[in-house]
Amino acid sequence: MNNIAIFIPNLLTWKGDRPIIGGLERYALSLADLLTEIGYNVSFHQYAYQDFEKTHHKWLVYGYEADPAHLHLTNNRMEKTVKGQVLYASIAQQTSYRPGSICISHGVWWELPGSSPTNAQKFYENHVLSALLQAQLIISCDYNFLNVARAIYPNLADKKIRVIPNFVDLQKFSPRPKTKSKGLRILYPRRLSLERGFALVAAIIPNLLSEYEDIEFHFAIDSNIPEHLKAFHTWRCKVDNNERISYSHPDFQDMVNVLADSDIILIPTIYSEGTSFSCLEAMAIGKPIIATNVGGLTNLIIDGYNGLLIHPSKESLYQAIRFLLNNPTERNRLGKNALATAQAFDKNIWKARWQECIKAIYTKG
Amino acid sequence: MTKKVGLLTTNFFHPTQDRIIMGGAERYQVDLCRLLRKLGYHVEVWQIGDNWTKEFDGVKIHGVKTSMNEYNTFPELSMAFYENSVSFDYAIYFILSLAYPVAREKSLAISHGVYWDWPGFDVKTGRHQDHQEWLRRMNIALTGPEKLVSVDTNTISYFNSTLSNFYHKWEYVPNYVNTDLFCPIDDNQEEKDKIRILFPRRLVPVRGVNETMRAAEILTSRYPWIEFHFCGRGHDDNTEKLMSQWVSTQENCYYDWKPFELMPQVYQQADIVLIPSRSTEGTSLAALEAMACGKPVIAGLTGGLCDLVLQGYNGYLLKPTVKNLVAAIEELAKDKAKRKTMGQRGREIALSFNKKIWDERWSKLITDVFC
Repeated sequence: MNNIAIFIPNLLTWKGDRPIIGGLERYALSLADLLTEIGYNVSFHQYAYQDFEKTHHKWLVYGYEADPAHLHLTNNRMEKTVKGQVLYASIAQQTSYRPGSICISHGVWWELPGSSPTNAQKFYENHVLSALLQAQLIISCDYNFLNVARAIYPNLADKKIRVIPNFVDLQKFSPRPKTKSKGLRILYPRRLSLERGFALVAAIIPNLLSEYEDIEFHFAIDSNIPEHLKAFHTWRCKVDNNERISYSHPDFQDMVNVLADSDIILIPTIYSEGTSFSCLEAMAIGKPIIATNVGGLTNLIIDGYNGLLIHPSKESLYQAIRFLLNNPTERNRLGKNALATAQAFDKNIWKARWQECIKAIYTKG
Repeated sequence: MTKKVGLLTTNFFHPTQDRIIMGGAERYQVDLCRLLRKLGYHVEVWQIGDNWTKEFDGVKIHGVKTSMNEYNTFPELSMAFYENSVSFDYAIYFILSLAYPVAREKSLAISHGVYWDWPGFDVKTGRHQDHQEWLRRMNIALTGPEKLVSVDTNTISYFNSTLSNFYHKWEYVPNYVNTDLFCPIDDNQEEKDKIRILFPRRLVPVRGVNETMRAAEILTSRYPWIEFHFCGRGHDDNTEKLMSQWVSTQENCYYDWKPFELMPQVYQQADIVLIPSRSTEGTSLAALEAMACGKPVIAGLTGGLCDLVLQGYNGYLLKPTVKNLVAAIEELAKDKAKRKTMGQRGREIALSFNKKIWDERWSKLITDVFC
């Protein structure tokens, strides 16, 4: 009876040959660790080109053949195949839930700039409303999702949604000296996808590089999607002063050093953001952060206190970077406060709060 | 030639009585008008009223006779303003929905926080088609003004999630506090024998007054050294009377309200400040003032409060149920060191919301749009 099946879009790739790098996947693995620790037998169920069964870390991962245009059919098949208790890793994946289940919201994800009201309505009616009506508990990684859901469904949101902000492992992420010390390094530690704001950074780099001779940019990026990476290289080749634009594909272990070697960290999200791991980790390293006032970032950064919280536009980003480059004392102060606030997001707090919820929903009697 | 700005609101003065309560929105309006005048503009205000003209703080306020409120919008008032302010150069819509159905060119609209997240909103736009009609009208309201100013990030996020066409119009200008006026007092006095819990809000359900009263009953009977101070107006004489009656039957519960000048002292005397809003909340002035006075804040996880309070850092963000309030107050009341740390952090955070920063941000916006 101690089985919990986690439904997730893609823990591994569609082929099942390697893990996907992203916040949702890291979240799911941390949760699986916790569940295993307290005695549950965890399995993952995800989309695939062809059915597969693999082992990832210590867990079985089942791939279910899926057609990207008709994912609901695969969802139905997962529902039929898996007996017992299910934990739904993403509210964005599901439109129906079995009784007595938990689902997770990783932040409002459908607020693509310029999309139509009808389109938006489809998202919140299909996903948010179904979860509010069917799931027993919705864990939201930020206050923003709860607040948006309450503004859309005033009578329902508070009954089902509970906020557990994302976490940072303070044992792993703590301040340490820079190992490279030539000039100032501005870091973009995000994936290359549209919503993460790579384009905003790319647009202002030429001016900044010519204006400041002692700065460099570093991109700590994923290689999930080959086309994105190709576009990155094409862009980089064309920029003047590109000897001061470096990049790397750090894994989770190397990330600490990449963060520690930077002087300013950018989290320039355009949409679809929760309490970003990248942001929390940057805070825990004690660096000055420029984040946008999007999604759960607003629940982490207080403008002018532990970072700068800006409107996601090129102009705001440009001005914010210049402000920090010109003000070393402010960089120092914001970094210090970022480190102090990171302590409130200690992984142990996250674990304790999740444990209560698991006990309440899955461990009855 | 002095440029003229017309500001449209609904109820600064009560439309028919002389009762005026200086709440957060009213103070915001007075401060914004002062800033506009400092920048050299002539300002006049329009609102609902029986064709009167009054004056407040040197600003003329015109009452427009209308009673029409459709789907939480005020088309008649808005149209009358459009016509009556014809000789004015620029406009400010003090509430977003007032920019419906048509907004002046060179105008700004302000959101003081989401107010449609309260189940009571259902009374006016409860049916699905009514709500859709309200949203349709809001879509039109947001189209007109050049910039949309929000006191919190929640409003921006809500509209980007429902009417996302206005992504680039939004400006987050959080509320402010005068950190010279609201400041901590020297803590080196003698050991106090009572812990004072302050509820500095209006006595209305959205502010969590019901839950706070229940929590007060439980905690004051459990601990003779805890006292509760309710400090705020009701929306009518009757609610204020009910509160007075209730405190007279309670041990260690007090009710009073104070003019703005005395509020710094009220916060300074408190040990813990409650802002247990259930909804309808922006970046609450009360929360900012409590923080500026160096007090830990127990806040509802709603609206703009999530832009001010970091759970477990400078206070608590919780669902304001009786049980949650009792547990949080109990914990903080027993832990002097924690109250002190959280209070100091609150003070530091409040400095980032200094009124001077607000003045600068608004001045820049005004210069950008009114040109």
